[in-house]
Amino acid sequence: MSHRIRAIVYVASAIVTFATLMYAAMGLPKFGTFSGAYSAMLLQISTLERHVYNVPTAVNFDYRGFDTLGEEFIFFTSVAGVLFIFSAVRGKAEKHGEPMEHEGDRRQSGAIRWFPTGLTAFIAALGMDLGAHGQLTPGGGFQGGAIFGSAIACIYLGVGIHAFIRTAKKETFDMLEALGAFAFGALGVAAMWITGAFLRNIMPLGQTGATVSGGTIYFLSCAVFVEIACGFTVLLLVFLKQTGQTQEGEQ
Amino acid sequence: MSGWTLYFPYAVAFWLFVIGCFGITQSRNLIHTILCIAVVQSSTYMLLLSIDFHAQAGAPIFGSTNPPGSASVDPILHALTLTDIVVGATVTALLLALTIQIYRRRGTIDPQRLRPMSE
Repeated sequence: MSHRIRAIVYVASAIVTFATLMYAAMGLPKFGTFSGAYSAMLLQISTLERHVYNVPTAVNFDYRGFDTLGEEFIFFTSVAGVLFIFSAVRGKAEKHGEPMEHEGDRRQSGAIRWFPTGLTAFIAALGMDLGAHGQLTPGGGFQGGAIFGSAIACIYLGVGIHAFIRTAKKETFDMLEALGAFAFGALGVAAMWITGAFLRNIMPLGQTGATVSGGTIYFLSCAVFVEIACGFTVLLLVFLKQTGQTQEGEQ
Repeated sequence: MSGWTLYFPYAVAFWLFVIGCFGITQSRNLIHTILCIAVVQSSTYMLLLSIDFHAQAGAPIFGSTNPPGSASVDPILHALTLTDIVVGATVTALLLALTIQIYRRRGTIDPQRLRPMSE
């Protein structure tokens, strides 16, 4: 099928799809009028019951903590999946060994080298701030972890691919990532051991508004932070190793 | 607010879905295809958040200006959107890894030239 015919066929079907979806939207609550009973209740009780200000965090790590366990393992599995996909040709690729320092490293301007290096500490601090105060202000383990992961990406921009792959050991980050995932499950099992319910909030709730408050919410958030930050670093390292090898293979 | 504005945010969400799919059908590069999938996925964020919206309500995060119990949008849909974003990031990572492998094996990432049986 040529490009043009494909476009015509698609546009025709897209108009039908769009019209059907709009017809379906007529059955949705009108914009700005939806009000769920469950969420109305959560807004009333979560600060009193769990001593947190950020209700979505309470939903993620407490009321629906079991769903977040699944979400966390989606991330964990996909990092494992990326490692698995790349390991399929490792036997062939590893003959090249560590990627050599290629032209890109030497051509980097001072701005690209120094600007991210200076930013690293600030981005890392912002990530940790968001990760540690997820129960009080916007943020949480996922967001903070992703930002902390980009601080590590900044280190790569600063030092270049060669030095970065040599110093950042994939195995270390792999292990820390698994540890984060394990901590989440272990807290859940510990709660089951003590109270009989998986992921029940078993820690002292602390004072509302304190840095460490919300009971297990804080610790689950920290576990997710470690897992996401290290998972992103593992992904970065794996992709960098692959591109290093690809460029070598082409030369 | 009345008339068509009551459904306009849903129309934006469906538009993102349809235009993202259009990009997938017209794609000549798998990385472009992956970005189109990200656009399709962002339509789900738009849908969830537009169901969520309330004109007089703030974010479901309380503080000194909006004490606990004050008017706020639905926290569950916000939590769902967060889940959605995390899943989107992982899907992108997996697809990019697959793209690199496809390039290694076939020497092209143009989906038009990737025929199932050709070696």
